[in-house]
Amino acid sequence: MEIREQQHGAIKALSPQGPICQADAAEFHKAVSAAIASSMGRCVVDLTATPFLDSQGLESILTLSETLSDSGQFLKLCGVCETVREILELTDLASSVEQYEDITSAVRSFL
Amino acid sequence: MLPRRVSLISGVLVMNTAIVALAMVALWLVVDRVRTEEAERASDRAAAAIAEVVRPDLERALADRDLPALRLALAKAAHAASLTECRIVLGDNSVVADLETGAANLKALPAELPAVSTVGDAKRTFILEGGVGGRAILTLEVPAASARSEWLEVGFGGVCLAAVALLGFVSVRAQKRSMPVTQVSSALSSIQQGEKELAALELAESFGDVATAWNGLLKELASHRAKERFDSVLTRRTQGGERDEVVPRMVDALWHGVIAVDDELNIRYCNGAAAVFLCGTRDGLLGTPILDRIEDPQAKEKLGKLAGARSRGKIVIETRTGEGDNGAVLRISARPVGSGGGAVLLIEDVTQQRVADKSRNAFVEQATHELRTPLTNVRLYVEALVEKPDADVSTRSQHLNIINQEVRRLERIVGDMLSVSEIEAGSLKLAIHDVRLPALFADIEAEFSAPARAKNIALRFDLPPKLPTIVADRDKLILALTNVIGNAIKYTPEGGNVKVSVKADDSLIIDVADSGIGIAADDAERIFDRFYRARDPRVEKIVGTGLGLALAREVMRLHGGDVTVQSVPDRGSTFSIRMPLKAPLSRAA
Repeated sequence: MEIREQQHGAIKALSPQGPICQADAAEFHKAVSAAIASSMGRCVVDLTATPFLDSQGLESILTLSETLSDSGQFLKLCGVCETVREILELTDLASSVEQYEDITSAVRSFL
Repeated sequence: MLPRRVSLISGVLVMNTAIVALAMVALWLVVDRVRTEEAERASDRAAAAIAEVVRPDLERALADRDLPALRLALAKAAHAASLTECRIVLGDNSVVADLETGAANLKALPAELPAVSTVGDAKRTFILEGGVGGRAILTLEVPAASARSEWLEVGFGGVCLAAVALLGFVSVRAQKRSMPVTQVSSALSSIQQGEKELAALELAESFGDVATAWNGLLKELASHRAKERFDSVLTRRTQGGERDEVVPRMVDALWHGVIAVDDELNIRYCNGAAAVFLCGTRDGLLGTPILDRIEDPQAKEKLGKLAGARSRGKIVIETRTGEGDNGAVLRISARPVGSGGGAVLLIEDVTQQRVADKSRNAFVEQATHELRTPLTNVRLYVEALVEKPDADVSTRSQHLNIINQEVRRLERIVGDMLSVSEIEAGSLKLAIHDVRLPALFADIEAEFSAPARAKNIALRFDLPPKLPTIVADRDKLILALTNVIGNAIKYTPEGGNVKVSVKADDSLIIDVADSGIGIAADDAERIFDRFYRARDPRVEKIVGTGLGLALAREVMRLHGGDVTVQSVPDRGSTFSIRMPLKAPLSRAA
C-alpha cells in the first residue's frame, strides 16, 4: 500500500492511496505511528484517496486514536469520503477522531 | 488443602465398611466350610454303623443266594436308616439290589460270584462276604445331618445388621463432627480465590471450639489487613503521592504538558503530553532533573532559577528540541508553588504557530515589496507629470499608461489579498453570469503582451476558431488565468516561450505551457498551498506572494474544475485549467 507523506509546516500529512483493509491496515498503522512518534503528535491523516476501510482498518484507527488520547491529543482525519464517514459514525468512532474537510483546515487546527 | 466437597473422613468410613463386610464374608465362608466337613464325617460314621447292623442279614442272604431275601433286608435297612442311596453290586458291576426301582438288573444270583477287584469310597462302601461263592459290594449313602443351625444364621444376620447400623451411626457422627473442618477448608479456598469480605467466612458458634478458633483467626486477619491499608495510605500521604484519581485523569486529557518538580527540579509528576514533548516515558521521567531535558543553555539557565525557590515569579521560555521536520518548538511556562519549594510547568507545542508566524512574516515582506514597486512607479511618474506640465503629448501619454498599468497591478495584488481573506473566512462566492470567451482571452492577451514583450518571451494564444459563451464568474476566471499566465511569464527566462491553448468541448480546458525553470517533484503539489513558494533559489530572487496558484485552484474548484501541473525542472511546466461547461444563462432562460 502506498502511503504518501507530506510536510505542511510543522505538520506531517499522511495520505494512504487506497482502501485500508487487511494487511494494509497494519502497514497504515505502522506508518502513522512512526509519524506520530517523530512529530510529537503533529500529524494529519488525509483519507482523500481512501474509498473505504474494513474492520482491521477501523481497529488501526481506534488504536491510533487511543495512543494519541493518552497524551491528550486527537487523531485528525481529513478528506473523509461519505462511505468512510458513515462507517466511522456507525461504529461510534466518529467521536474519537477529529474530522476536517481538507488538509488545509486540518493543518490550521494546530494553530 | 482439600478441595471443596471432599471429606477424608467419609472416605475412611467407606473403606472401613468395605473391610468389615469383606471380613464378615470371609468368616462366613470359613464357618460354613468347617460345618460341612463335620457333617460329612458324621455321615461317614452313620454309614459305617448301619453297615455293621445290616451286614449279617445281607451276608446270610448272599451266602444262600437268596436274592429276594437280600433285597428285602436291604430295603428294610434303607427304610429304617432313611438312606438316600443303598445298593449291592457284584464284581462285574451287575446290580444285585438297589433302592431305586428297576436299577437292579440281576434276576438271580449266580452260584459263583465274580471277583471284586476295586472298591470305591472306603468310607461309604463295604465288602459283603458271600460265603464260598465270593463277595459283593455294599454301598450306603446316609443323608447328611442338617449342618446348619438356624440360631447360628439368625445370630450371624443380627450381628451383620448391627455392624452395618453401627457403621452408619459412626459415619453420621463423624460427618457431623467433621463439618467445621469442611467449613474451614471451604473458607480457606475462598480466601485463596480472593474473597475480601472476611465476615462472610465466619463459622457459626454451634460448630464449637473449631468455629471459635477459626473466627478468632479471621478477626486477626481483618485487623492485619486494616493496619496494612492504613499504613499504605499514611505512606502515600506522607510522601506526597496521594492524589485524587479524578485529577490525574483530567490532567492526562490535557493536550498541554503538565509537570510538577520538587525543590531540586526533579520531576515528581508529568502527564502524557509532557512525556511526549520531553521524548520519554512517564515512569522514565519521574525522579530525573527537568534541566536534563532542556537543550538550550539560556532556557536552562532561566529555568534553573526555580531551584531552591530563587525565583518566585512566572518564567516563560521557548526551547527547541530535535532537528529538522521532526523537531519541535516548546513554550514552557513555569511558576513556583507556595513556599515549600517545587514548581509546576506548563509545556505547549508552538511549532506550527512559529512556522505560521514565519510564513506570515514572509508574506508581509513579499506583499510590502509587491505593493511598494508599483506605488513607487506611480509616485515617480506622477511627479514627472507634475514637474513637467509642458511635456509633449506622447510623453504624457506614455507616463499615464505606465501609471495605469501600475495601478492595475496594485489593484490585482489587493484583489488577491482580499480573495485570500474571503477564502480564509469561507466567504469567497461566485457571481455567475454569461462570459464570452473570445472577449475574455482578448483582454488577457492585451494585458500580458507588454510584459512578455519586455522579457522577449514569445506569448502565443492557440484559440479555436469559435469559442462558446460559458457560465462563470468572469472576474474570478480572469483572476485565475492572470495568475497562471502571469506566473508562466514571471518564471520563464528571457527569450522563452509561453503558449496558451484552449479547447472547449464538454469541458473548458486551458493549458498554459512555458519553457521556464520548471518545478521540482517535491514542490509540484505544494505550490498550490497558500503562502508557499518553491525552494528553488531562482524562485527566491523573484518577488511573489505565494498566493496566486492557491487562488487559481480555489476559484476553479468553485467552478467545479481544478488546476493541475506537470513539470520538468529546467525544461518548463504545463498548467492545466479545467472546468465543466454549462449552458449560457441567456439560452437557458
